[in-house]
Amino acid sequence: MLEKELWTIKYAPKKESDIVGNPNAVKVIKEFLTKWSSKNEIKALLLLGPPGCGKTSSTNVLAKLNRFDVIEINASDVRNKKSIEEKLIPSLATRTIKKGVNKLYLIDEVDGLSGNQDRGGLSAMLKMVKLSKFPIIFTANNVHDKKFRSLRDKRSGIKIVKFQKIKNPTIVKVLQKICIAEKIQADPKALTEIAINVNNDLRSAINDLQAVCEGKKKLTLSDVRKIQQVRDTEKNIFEVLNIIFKNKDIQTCNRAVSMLDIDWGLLLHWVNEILPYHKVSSRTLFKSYKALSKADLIYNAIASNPEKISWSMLPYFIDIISSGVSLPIKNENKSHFVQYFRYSPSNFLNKMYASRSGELMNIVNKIRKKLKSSPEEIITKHLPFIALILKKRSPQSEYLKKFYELDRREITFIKNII
Amino acid sequence: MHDLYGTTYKANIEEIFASDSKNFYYEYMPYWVEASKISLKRHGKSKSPSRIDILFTIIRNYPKTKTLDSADHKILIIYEADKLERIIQQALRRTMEKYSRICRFILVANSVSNIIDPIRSRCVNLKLFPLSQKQFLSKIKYICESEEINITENALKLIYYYSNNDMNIAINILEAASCYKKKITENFIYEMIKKLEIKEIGECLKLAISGNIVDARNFLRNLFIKKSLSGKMILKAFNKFLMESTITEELKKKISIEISKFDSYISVPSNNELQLSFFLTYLATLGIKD
Repeated sequence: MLEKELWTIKYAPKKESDIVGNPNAVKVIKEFLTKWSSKNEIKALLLLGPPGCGKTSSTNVLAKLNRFDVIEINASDVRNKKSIEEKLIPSLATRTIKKGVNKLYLIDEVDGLSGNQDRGGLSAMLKMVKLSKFPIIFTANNVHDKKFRSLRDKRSGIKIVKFQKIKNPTIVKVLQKICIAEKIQADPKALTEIAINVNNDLRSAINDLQAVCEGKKKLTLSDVRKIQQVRDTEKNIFEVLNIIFKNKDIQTCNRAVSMLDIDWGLLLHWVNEILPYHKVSSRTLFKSYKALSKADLIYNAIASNPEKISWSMLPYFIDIISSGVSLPIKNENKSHFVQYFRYSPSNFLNKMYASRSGELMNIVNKIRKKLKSSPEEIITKHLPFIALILKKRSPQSEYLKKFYELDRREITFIKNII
Repeated sequence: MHDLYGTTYKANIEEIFASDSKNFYYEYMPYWVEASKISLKRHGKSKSPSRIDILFTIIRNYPKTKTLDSADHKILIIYEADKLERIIQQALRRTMEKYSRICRFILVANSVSNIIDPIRSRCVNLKLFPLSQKQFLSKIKYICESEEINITENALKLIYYYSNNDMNIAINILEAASCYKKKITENFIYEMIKKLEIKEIGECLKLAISGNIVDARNFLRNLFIKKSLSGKMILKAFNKFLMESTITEELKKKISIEISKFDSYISVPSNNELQLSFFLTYLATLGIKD
């Protein structure tokens, strides 16, 4: 018999003592709710943390205990500027009918705001915080996102609460409790295996447990092993970088890279970005870059021509980028901690480069209407000299401007070249 | 060509550059884009034509139509023919024969090795040699006279050496110099050349040699973004700077071999910034003290 209710909902915390992990964060939320008045300086909380660490569920429990009605808005709702201004902001003025019960807005998964569909959603939410007479709680996973700069601003009246990952022993304890309640005889080793697999995510641990225990009253290690192959947890890029540059075991590095669920090019960018920051001798750095350059060549060979060069080259790429790049560094130095920072600057850089080169090509095409030569020749042999002429005010430069039909923006662009 | 055709030049001559991007055709040769759209539709495809589609259409259709204004032949000039893809060269080979009564072809290329044999055998191969110093200088002198520019003999020689036998560069620098001063001397040309040099190159290389890769890379990125240089141009400038610097001959030889390797890395599809950072780390390993 399939069970109707998901265990994650069935065994969600109901009392404050049910909440596991993150005691400090829970305390902050409790204080925020108990001492709530609309004149408070802090009007909203932003809960940051990885999935399955109890952000939403602890909010729900604490709200219930403190007599708040939770109005939840999550990623399945359209959250653009218009819908927030039309639906949510008017509701800020009203009160619940129930006596002594206050309202609490829970805006889930703020980082799920999509760029196109939810245009202007974030700024509308900030406006909502300012107007609100009720407490608002945001939750988000990705701490590094650029989007949250405005939310992080102190003047916005939002306090940030960080949730940590839940440790494995705690997850095992929760699983044991559920097993007792469901009358399942569980092997402790099996539960530990589940906990290790899920990468500190309590929600998916409970889901896994339910999947394994479906229609059974006994749980063994081999049952768990079966499902392990199905769920390969997607790894954060920072974790992978951490493993690449710190773990001495090549197998582990390889596994981490091949499990990574992002574009390989982005990984390449990131390794390139942080490699020079390692404090090692130049000889070692050279060796590392040698491997990285090879990896880049392989990657581009695959990416540029997927039909001719088969994907069979991908394993070499993974080998090189996972161990070849970092091995010289590991051999030389044992403690070489490098802080990973800044969100994806290399990506941003590429975009800027592309827009600039687009502008350059426009100018080159304009000049080519008059001059018969190839784009490359124009850039190397003509543009610098045109820039020189344009810099000096003379009849010749006036003539050139007219001749090539350049507007003011293009002229400043050309002048900047030299 | 102008002498031959006179007023019917535009009607009977078409010029294409092999390395042109798709956008160029969309903007400046919309008639060929329309034509290739029609020919694609005839084959039951309704996508927007790519660069290769457009080139195909030009090569297939241009020679088929009649000459205008009772000219004897039409002419299709293809610059940078060595950069044409193999499939297009194959298409060209067929039309060159078939419609030679109406249309003649002129292919311009830097090297003959990238042009397939069947095309080479259908063409008369003319090899153009670089100008000798005497011819070169006499041409520049002719320009100076007709533009009434006062220039010294040494300045002329300097222009010749700087331009590396390239008339484009020589005329350009002459024009630029004439904007600033009426009388051009050797020293003034030196100043102009210095202005054209990219200062970041030197600083970037010095930082790399001293082992500060992080800062050197920032300079490198500046070159990419602010100066909008391509990887090849930057490597060329690196090469020039290093060959003119004061390091030993032995090292120069070593570096130039290495640079040729990096050039090959950049020529194939790759992340140019990453490859050039690799080059910077290579410089750091040499341990030059300067």
